[in-house]
Amino acid sequence: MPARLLDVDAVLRERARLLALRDEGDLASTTEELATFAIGGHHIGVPMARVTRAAALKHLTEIPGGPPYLVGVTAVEGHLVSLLDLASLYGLERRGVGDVTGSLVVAHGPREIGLAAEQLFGIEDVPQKTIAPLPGAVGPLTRIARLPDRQVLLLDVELLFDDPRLGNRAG
Amino acid sequence: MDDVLRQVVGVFADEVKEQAQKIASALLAMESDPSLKGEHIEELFRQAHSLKGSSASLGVEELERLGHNLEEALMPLRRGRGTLTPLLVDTALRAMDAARMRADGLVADNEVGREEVKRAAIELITLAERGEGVIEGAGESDSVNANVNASVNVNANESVNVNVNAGENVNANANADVRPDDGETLRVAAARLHALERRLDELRSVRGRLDQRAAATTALIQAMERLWREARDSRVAPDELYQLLRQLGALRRDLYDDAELAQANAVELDENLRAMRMVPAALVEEPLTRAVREACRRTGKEARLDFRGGDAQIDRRLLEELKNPLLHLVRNAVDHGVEGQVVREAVGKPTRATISVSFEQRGRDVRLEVRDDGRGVDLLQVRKKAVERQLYSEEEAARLSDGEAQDLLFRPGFSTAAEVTELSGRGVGLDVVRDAVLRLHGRIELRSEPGQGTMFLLSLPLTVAASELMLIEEGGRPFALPLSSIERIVRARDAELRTVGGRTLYHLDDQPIPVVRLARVLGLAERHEGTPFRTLAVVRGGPSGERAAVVCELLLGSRDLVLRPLPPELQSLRLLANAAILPNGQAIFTLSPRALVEAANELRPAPAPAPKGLQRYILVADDSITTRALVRNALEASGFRVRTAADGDEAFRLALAEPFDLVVSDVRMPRLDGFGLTARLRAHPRTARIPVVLFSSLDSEEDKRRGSQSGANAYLTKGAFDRGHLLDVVANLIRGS
Repeated sequence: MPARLLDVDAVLRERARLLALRDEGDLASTTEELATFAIGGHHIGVPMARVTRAAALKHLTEIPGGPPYLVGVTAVEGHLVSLLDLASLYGLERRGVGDVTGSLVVAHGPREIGLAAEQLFGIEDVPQKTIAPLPGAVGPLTRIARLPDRQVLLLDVELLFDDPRLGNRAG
Repeated sequence: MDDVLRQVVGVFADEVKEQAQKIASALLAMESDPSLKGEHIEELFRQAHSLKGSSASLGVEELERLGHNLEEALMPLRRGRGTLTPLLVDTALRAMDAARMRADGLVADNEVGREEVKRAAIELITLAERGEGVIEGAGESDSVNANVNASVNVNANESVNVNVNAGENVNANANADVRPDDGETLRVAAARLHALERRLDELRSVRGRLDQRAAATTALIQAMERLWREARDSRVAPDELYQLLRQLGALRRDLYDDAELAQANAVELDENLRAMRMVPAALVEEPLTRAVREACRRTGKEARLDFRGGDAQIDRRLLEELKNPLLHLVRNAVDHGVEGQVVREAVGKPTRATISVSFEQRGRDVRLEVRDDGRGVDLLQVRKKAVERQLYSEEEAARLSDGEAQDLLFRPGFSTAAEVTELSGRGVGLDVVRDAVLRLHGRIELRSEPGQGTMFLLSLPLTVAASELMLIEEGGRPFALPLSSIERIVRARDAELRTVGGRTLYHLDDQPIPVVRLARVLGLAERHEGTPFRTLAVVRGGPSGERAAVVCELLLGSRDLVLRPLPPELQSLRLLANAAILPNGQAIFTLSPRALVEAANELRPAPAPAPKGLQRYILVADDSITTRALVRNALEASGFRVRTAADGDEAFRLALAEPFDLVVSDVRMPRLDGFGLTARLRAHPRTARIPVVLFSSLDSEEDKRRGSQSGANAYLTKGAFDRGHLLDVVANLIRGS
């Protein structure tokens, strides 16, 4: 058997070098990993670090007497979460209506809330250079990614939980 | 953070917090009762040394230094002489707070608490160098010394060997110290416990599904039996079918057996989980002792905490929920209950007041007493305040029974203290304590003897795990009521519900009970037509056990479900208390008996008042909650009054009962679609002239034609939804009608 095939150390060193390249390379430093979905016809992106789970909607329980921007509560993997309609909370102009079909659960500290989604697109790496501050930021929607085929509003989850309409942070 | 620390940081942080708590407890106990010194000195040194040791082994220098300096400051005690100075107790307590803070900082992998720990360490060593920590006094035996060293070693070994993953950890091992006979204890990550709980919920839902499938099999068997009988009568090969039937029957039996097995497992798992969540009540002793101490310092009063029943085992979640109300009660006792020293001496009481807190387990309940030996509640003052606040006239206030006058103290914002104090009078009052207790399905009572003191008696279920709930249906939606709040279920004739002066009353055993119509307070459509009978659940929910009769459409039966607190964004909804998840995965809300009693006592106008002046009344029917909310918002923002329905059938009933000016309806809906609804509205003389707007995602020409054939006045598509267009269409139709 040729000697170089047995040189495990060399193989590992090469793998380590390639891995290191990938970490430091273009991809990691110049893209942002976002979970994207649609609500009210708008595309919204949430940094993956804030997403705890995503699920198709099975049961939605209406909240009697609840505010219009909370479309209901649902159980996601045994957790009770409210479903928030971002378009309604921040008065985004509606571009058509679809039914809520899924939820993207986001968390910050002990707080957790589900974002109502008409469509869940999945996870994508969005190039940093397409992201810019959103002129006239709408609440926690402070940045925008201008992609060739569409625009994605980026949600700042920490700012979202600071919204007093979502209850006292300490409470 | 280095890798070793990262792996054990959760456990280490818990250990630090536990050491800090034990050190604080020992300091407080020694200060309060110097005769107990020996055992506490031993504990102090053991914990301080252990803090130093485990911090050193993980390279957390600031905590190592803190442990070391604490030992130094306490050194004169170790030599067996002296008493702690209040200055040292203060400094050491602050140091322990800093240590706890740092523990959280380490878990979060940030700098939080580091500076505080360093400062506390310097303060401790300064005290030690100046000799201000311990006042020299009578000596004690040297045997303490030997014991200390022996236990230190054991402890240090244990803390290094612990091997659990990071993250939040249940402080279950506190059991070991309170109940040494319990045998081996184990730290369990709370996340793991939660994961188990979630599995349990899933197991329950599997059980529910098995039941449903077995029931479906029964239906299948019945259908096949019918077929078999028909086939037998016409003499067409019944044998094979008969075999199949027998196999199906066996399958059904197996399904039911499996369902039972799943249920038995769920019950056992549930019981084990409950047991794992139990912690000793003693965990709240230290914070309560400190609260009393701080309250004394600020008020200049003297008081000690007498804590009993620390080994009562209580659900960790319950104890967490109870901590703040208890802190409030003991602060309140020092602040308002206990007299100043001069007065106490004058009336012949010991200058040092006693605040006692006791826990006692009684069956499935835990009873708590918070008692002080102060001046008691001044009912004259309470009555005077009630008049000042214009709650009662002077004559009415004088007629209040003592019990009724005492209950006033639980009202929001009602306080008899002459001035708002920093301690307990910041607008947060006994009403908050009572709310917390009621939320936990408990009761709170106040007893007071003038001059003898005040006692709060709390009674709560031991666990907040599974609760027995009665499921009801109203407006087509399920809700739950705590079974413990239901006194009786009665069937009453509609005519027995009499409305007097804006309140509806039902007489049960000659007692009038205010009636609350759920659908109305929840803003849902009522569906009681066609029957003269009403189902009433008589619930007890008022602070003094007041009752209300809740009218509900259907009783769905009782179930054991785990209650989940509402997320903060829903906590302002007073009718909703908690939520639970049904076996099929659907979330339901539990209703607050207290809010129902309050709602029953509110004066309500007659149902469905005619729209005022120009405010037009619109019915929106859509099975999608989002679309309903969306259309409702758009219309309400333009000044219309809106009522919603979840399907055509509900919409039609509402349209017959209330005077709508226009109907906006989806096309695809369960039970009765938009075409059907329009046709029915047109066919009924009372609704034939109401304009109808169909609003649909279907935009084929065929659908538009069907829409206009059914009699709709306009057909809009959701894909091209434009708020302005909808409002224009609605306004035009209303103007024309």
